[in-house]
Amino acid sequence: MIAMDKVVKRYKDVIALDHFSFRAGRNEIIGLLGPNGCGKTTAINCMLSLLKFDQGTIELFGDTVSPNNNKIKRRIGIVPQELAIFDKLNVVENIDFYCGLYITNKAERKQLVDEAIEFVGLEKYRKFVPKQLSGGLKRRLNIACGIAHKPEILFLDEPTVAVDAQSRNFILEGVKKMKDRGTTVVYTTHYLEEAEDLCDSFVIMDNGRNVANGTLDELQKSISTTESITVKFISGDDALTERLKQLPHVNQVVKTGDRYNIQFEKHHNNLANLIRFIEDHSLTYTEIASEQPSLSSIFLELTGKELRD
Amino acid sequence: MNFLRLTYYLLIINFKDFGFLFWTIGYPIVLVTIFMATTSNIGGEDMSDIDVAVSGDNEYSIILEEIDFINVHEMSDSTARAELAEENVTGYITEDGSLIVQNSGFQQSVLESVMNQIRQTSALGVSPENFNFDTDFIQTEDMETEPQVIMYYSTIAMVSLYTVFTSMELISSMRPNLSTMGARFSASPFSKSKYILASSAAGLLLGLFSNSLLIGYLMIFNESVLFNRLLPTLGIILAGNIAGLGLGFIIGLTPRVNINVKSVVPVIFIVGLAFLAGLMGPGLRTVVNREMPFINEFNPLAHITDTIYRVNLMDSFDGYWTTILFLLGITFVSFFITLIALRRKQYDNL
Repeated sequence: MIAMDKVVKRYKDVIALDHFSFRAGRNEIIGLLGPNGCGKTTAINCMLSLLKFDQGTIELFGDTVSPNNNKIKRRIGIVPQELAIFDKLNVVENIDFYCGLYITNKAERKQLVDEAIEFVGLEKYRKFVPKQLSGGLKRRLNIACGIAHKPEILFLDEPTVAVDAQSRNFILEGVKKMKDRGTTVVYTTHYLEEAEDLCDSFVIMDNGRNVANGTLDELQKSISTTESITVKFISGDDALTERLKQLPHVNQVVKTGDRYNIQFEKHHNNLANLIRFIEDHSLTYTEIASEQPSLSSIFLELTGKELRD
Repeated sequence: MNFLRLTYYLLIINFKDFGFLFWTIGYPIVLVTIFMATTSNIGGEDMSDIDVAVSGDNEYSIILEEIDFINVHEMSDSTARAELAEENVTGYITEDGSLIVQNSGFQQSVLESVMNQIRQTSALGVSPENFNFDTDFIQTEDMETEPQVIMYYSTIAMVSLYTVFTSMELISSMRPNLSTMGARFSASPFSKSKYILASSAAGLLLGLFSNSLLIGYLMIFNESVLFNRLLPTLGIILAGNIAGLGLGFIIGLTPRVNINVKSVVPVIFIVGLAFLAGLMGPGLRTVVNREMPFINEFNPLAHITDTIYRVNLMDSFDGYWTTILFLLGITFVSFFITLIALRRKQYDNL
């Protein structure tokens, strides 16, 4: 569906996209993650053929993008980060206006507008103008304007910024529903927990480069971050700490009270080895938990910075 | 979306805008109301009482006495000069026919015109005594005219060009480097030419609406008859509105400038042109025409003002079609540049 290959985009001396590549398949939610200024929006604008790029190729639906390729444009949708709605038009009129850029048949458009309103839960606000809507409802309207024509690829640029919890959940559920009905969604966000919950795969960007991409599982495997297992023993001491360090692939053991946090190098069967150790030494534990690296820690390791600075 | 639906939305978007309501409807009406209130006495001078002093055996006194609105007072040269100094008479005509006045003004201008006519008749070899002032040598229409009509006409001309604001805003809103909406438009398969045409139709309807309101207001509240030929007047106004749209598109194309800042350009441009065309009274217009005639040659507002004046008050269609062609020429060039500039446009940065 989307194939971006070694795209280079320069703003004078600044390289916004540095041989940036990524692919996305049908019916997939792909998270485009990265700090401010890393090139996410530039990548989207290049895919939308709004921006010229210096090198590389971009194909959507197997066809090269260009400003006059309406065949592609008809099949994509965009929900920009900033609100792009008309203050003087009400909810129905706003959605109808944008839907009308794609759909000429009035009856078909009316049905699509009604579906979009229902999709974002604005049924009670059909005749409201934007200034009568809360920030979250405006965001929902912004989304409805971008999805009413049922695009096959949807670009969602930070749709949950400055949105209340209720609207955020509504939006996230909506994105999942979009996927269910066959849409490929390119989703940019700062909120990693949100992305982790929503996206099927991820592209981590930094300084215009694709630092890593893949599913969460693939990303977890690609880094050297240790598996972290925490055990709460009934009784323990410093000698136990030393003995735990003898386990294979252990990097570090941190004792906090009666809890022992054991960090492993990248390896399989760490939990099984630990349980065997506990049985062999006739130790008693009340809790044991293994944690995989989160998207946040993956991001930190790959880019050397927190995403939400 | 079809053309009519798009035009309808663009009409709503603009009509509900406070800026539109104030600047294109409220402001011109306030302006002409002020003109009416402050200039109502400009044309109200009494023409029947022009007192003229003539000295002794003045051959012109016999002729002047024949004219209804001139009162001739015979007196000596020194008395006449004294009366003139005290402004008891408007002018003093010496024995050789020279006209001496103390001030400039409407009555003095009329008196000078009469004396010129007498001198010209004499130059033709006809005795001034034989001049028949009862005969109309020139066919005239019976119309009430006041000098301030030029101010009303230039206000109408100014409002004609106000479509510049509508088209400027619409063209800015469809450019991805100037607005998020522009990015959204450009990412969709919508037709730019259809959008430009619908914007033009919406701007034109709004422009004609505000012009009609102003004309209606002047017809109801102004005492003089300003529109003896309404239909040709509307033709010129329509051409002015179309030219305004074109100019707005060109301004809208200018690079990254905030729309509010950008709006200042046409405000200064239009008000400046309106001043030169006579918005601040016929005096300034006369000075510009005398000192810098080339300026108003290229001033669309001056062309519109003059044509409305000629059509309505002189019953003349001289220059009517030239003005229409001039305005349509501006439009054609502007639309051409706009389409070329927007066609398949991609940006280096957004």
